[in-house]
Amino acid sequence: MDKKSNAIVIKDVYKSFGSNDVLKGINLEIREGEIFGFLGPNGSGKTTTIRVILDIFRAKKGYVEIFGISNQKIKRSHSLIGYLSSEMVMDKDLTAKQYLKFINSRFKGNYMANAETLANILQVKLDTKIGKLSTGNKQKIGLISALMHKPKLLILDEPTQGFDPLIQQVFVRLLLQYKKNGGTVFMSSHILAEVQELCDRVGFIKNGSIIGLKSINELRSSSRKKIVISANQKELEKIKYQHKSLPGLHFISETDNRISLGFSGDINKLMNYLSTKNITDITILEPELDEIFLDLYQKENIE
Amino acid sequence: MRFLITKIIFQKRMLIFWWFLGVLLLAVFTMYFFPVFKNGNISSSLNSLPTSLQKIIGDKASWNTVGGYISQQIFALRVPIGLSVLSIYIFSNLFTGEEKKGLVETQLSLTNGRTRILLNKLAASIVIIGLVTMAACIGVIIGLKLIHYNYDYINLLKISLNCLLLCLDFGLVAFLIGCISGKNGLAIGVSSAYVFISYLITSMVSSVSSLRIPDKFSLFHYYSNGNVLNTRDLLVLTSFGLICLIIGMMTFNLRDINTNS
Repeated sequence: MDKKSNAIVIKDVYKSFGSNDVLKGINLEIREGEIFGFLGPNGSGKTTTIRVILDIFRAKKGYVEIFGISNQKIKRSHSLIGYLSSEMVMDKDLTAKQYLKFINSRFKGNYMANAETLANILQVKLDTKIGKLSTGNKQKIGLISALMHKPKLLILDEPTQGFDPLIQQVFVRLLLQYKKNGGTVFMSSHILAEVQELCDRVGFIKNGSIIGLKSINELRSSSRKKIVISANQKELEKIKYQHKSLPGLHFISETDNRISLGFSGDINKLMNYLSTKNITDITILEPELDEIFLDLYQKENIE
Repeated sequence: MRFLITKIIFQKRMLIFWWFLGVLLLAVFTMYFFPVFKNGNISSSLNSLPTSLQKIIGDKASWNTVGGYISQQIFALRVPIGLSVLSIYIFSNLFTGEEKKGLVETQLSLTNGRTRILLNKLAASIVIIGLVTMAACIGVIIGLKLIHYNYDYINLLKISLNCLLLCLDFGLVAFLIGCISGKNGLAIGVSSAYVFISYLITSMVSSVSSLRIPDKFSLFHYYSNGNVLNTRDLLVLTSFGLICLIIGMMTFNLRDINTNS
């Protein structure tokens, strides 16, 4: 891949805290213009990776580049970034407006009008002291501070914690609009539905190592589909006992006149196989991201 | 750079106001009582005290001249100790305190480099402690006007700047420990202990000869609150502060930032 088309390059990054190796050779390339979801269980190294990208933590080995600029050249690299963490810490004794004015002063240009527009969209008052805001409203101010200067790259660490479902929808719309305008997003999240709705690609991290890196579509097509077949009892019995003849097909469950199977592989082979059966109805369900997620981590545990 | 400084000063405005007022009133009232002590029989009472105790509360000569009184009663103990406490608080609060809260993480996610953040905070600390030191200076001038005495203002300014330098040094000890360890409590504890141990050693060294060597490590040894400022002592205080600053910045640039989670 051409280096210029990468918003973030993470190359062989290792990070330890004492004897605890938290990142074990992370390699990632985030393409310009994509929304990249970074998934993993608690303590897998998601936040540490983000903090290394932002130069809050210094990598033991390896390097990070943001649009080809070293992340340690903070003035240049960070002027391209908007950052929101799960619990954004802001100056409690300032009003939201004073805080955003301070953020505005860190960048070239005046973005206060943009901040006020975002405040209207997110329905948050700017004349209240940050210390008196609820967690959700604080998070909204954090989101405004990340977006107001129209950065080329958004780094979001569990961004929607504290948002109610309505604001989560607003957040999704804002991010899709941001992407439409050419922005790149690197986000870690626990909310798989959110990742499924927003992301072009996802990376899975476990115990400090990347264990999977795929586009959402690739992930779906390579993952196990759920097939629900209706037929008479005799035919269902046949399918149940003969399904192993097609590689990739396996039994999940059985109810009255219905059988659920899992399938990963060439869909044409499945169709050929099913055409030989006397079935009355068939439903093929796309796997949900949480199923894929669990699948991937279970496989990894087995390995 | 000016925006982070102005933000800090804006946020600390009430602290600056109350410290400024407190130190100003302390200086005014101390000066106001000078005629009472000058004309009283305090000299004979002081003669009966041990030398080390006289050193702490001021020798007898200091109660008779306005210069000696300013030097001993304002700039020997009250203002330097008070300002050292403020300095340690400011340096620990702005550096390790904000780091512990997670504010440095937010600041670093903006376009601020580590050195830039430190220099901004350092400048803000100097401005805050400088303003409060100025309150002592202004308080002395107001006090002198009230009691109709005169004193060389240039000399008063020199003493004040020397006091500022001493207090900044104690703050920079807190800064250094904070930068190395990232621990706020440790920074406050060690630097405060250093202030009080330094003061005790220097005040007792004239009576206890075994304290002469430890006294060389006391910053009060190099602090002159009198009329004559020693260039060598000023150089020691300045160098000490600069060394703390440079080592602190170097270590802060190399280590991870503490976050709130």
